[in-house]
Amino acid sequence: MRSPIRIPLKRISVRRRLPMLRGPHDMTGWRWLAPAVVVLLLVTAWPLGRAVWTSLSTDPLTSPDDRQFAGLDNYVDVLSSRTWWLAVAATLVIVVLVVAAQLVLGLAFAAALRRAGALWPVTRVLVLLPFGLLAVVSAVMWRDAVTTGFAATWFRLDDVGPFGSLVAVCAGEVWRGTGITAVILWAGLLRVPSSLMASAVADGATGWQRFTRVVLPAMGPALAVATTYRALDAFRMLEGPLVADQTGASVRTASFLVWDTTFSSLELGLGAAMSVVLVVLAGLLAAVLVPVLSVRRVV
Amino acid sequence: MVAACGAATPSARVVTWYVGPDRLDATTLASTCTDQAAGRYRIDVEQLPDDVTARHALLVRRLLAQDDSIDVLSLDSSFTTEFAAAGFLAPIPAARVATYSEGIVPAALAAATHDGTLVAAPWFYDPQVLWYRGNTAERAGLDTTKPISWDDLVAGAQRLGVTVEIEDRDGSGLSEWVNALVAGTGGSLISGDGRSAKVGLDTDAGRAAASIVELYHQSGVGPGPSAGALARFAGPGGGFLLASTSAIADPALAAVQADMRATSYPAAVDASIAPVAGVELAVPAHAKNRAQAFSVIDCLTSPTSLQTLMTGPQHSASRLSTYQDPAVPTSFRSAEVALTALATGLSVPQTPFWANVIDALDETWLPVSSVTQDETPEASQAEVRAAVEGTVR
Repeated sequence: MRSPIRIPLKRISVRRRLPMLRGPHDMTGWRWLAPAVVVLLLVTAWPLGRAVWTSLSTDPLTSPDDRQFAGLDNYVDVLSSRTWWLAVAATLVIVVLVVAAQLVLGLAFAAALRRAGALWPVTRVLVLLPFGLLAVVSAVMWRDAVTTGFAATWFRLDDVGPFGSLVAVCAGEVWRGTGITAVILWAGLLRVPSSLMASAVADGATGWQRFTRVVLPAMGPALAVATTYRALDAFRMLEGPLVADQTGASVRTASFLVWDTTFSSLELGLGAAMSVVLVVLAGLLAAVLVPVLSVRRVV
Repeated sequence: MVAACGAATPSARVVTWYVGPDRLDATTLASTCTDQAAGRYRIDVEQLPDDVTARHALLVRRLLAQDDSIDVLSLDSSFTTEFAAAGFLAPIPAARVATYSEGIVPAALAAATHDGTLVAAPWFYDPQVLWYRGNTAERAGLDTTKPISWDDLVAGAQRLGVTVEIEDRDGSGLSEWVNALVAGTGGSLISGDGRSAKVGLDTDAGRAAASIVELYHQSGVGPGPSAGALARFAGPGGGFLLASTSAIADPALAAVQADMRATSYPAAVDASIAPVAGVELAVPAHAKNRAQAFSVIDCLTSPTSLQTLMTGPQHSASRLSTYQDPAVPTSFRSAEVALTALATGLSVPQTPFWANVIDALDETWLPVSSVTQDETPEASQAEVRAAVEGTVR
């Protein structure tokens, strides 16, 4: 529904483009970047290439006699496996739940932080504290909270089986990632021009209108970064499902399957194939998220 | 003399012996051997994890990394094929092969052999037996002079209102149970070698095995293989216990120990096929003190050490002559039953993928309440086959 009050904000662009590297200065930039790019390529290309190579054979770690070149067999096996796609589906459900919760909570935190004033140096450290902990620490903490601790008592979550595990896994990830999301979104909030806000207020815009037409467009890039980053981070989540796993447990994320196949079943080739598929899926996820979240769409 | 106080001379080489969750007193055995070595070596005992999966994971990681800190290893017989295939074990010196294999129970010798070569020194090989308290078997109307069938055992226990507990010390209880049940009903869980091994669960034998598990659960006589089995057997409702010969030496059974009797493992059809699992002594390929390590194994497999194993912790020695030791018949409580079980019993299949098969079986047969003869064998067949073939489970 259109609001009766027209706010002349649509035309004002709050997008700020990075200075594009065009013209004679291009090469200067690349020269500066080159060492970092080379190091990045080395540390990513080498293991990735190794994984692709390993994935082309069956390679049981403790049975070298059974090692042989298998071509694409491992990929066929992974892609046609119900277990694998169930794990991918479970992972995506977790990603959606976790990222949504982190964005909402993170935005609330960011708004609060903006008003923290002199306390900001302290609060900044506080919100980042969970992110500074090892993921496995928060995973163990939340598993225990849900199975035996406060969450079990308050919400009667003990003894609810797979659902309890799912809650523990999600809660752990939300707790860990909300702080960093809040800091990213806080940076986005700083991009909201106060003059625009003042004009909106002067024009009599409601709170919702100010949020959707001033704040969100200005925050677009920060939201996009936070969403993509948190989604990819949640997508590769391993620790939560790992510590919550019991025999027959049903919350198995894709990375958990990779871990289980590689380090528990010791099937290196199959595990490598899974990890390559996982990288491709993460790439697809990013390829979908980036255009969907592009600033143009938000404005 | 300082040496008389038990301190080894400073020049003594330290041999590190990793032991599993056995009931034996490794420290005492080690110090006896250290004393006998008269300064040639000193044995340090280190404990491996109690859980079979954790133990397997730890050993695989350390042995793969060519860790040289393990000199002597108490090796689960179920890991032997995998570790030997992976090249984790040092070859046994030719001069010792005959000594280590002399008079060994054939099945125990087979379990310690890979590709026709002895890869570890058989040490003890415990069959499971049916323990019962006092005259429980008679009161349940069971004739203990011949193998009792599962049907009769469950019905008898139900009539008396007592439980049939199944021991699971380290997480391998379920897999050993299923393996023995499938064999007991005329099948074979896994036959053949390596990747192409045949899985025999989606068969009449597999369904018969599942029907026994189903019957066991539905009659409410126990929770299936569990760590608390011994404590419940010693408690008020305890009647029967399926456990290894060494169970009687467990502190959890101290109160009822004097009252315990053993008979052969229940028969699925007509012959009793008991699960058997043992421990061998092996030297890792990268052990620092290989020569000393084999001297330690010589001492640990000596008649005196084996006698100690049987009379104290009630582990069934792999060497048959130990049963003739004068001290054994009086103090080893299940001698007769154990000897029969050793001849007819069944250890787990010799596949390098057994650790994965344990996982696959646990996934499909636990909890015991979920087992049905219509669905479990088929589902489990797929999982176990995937574990053996190395495909996604």
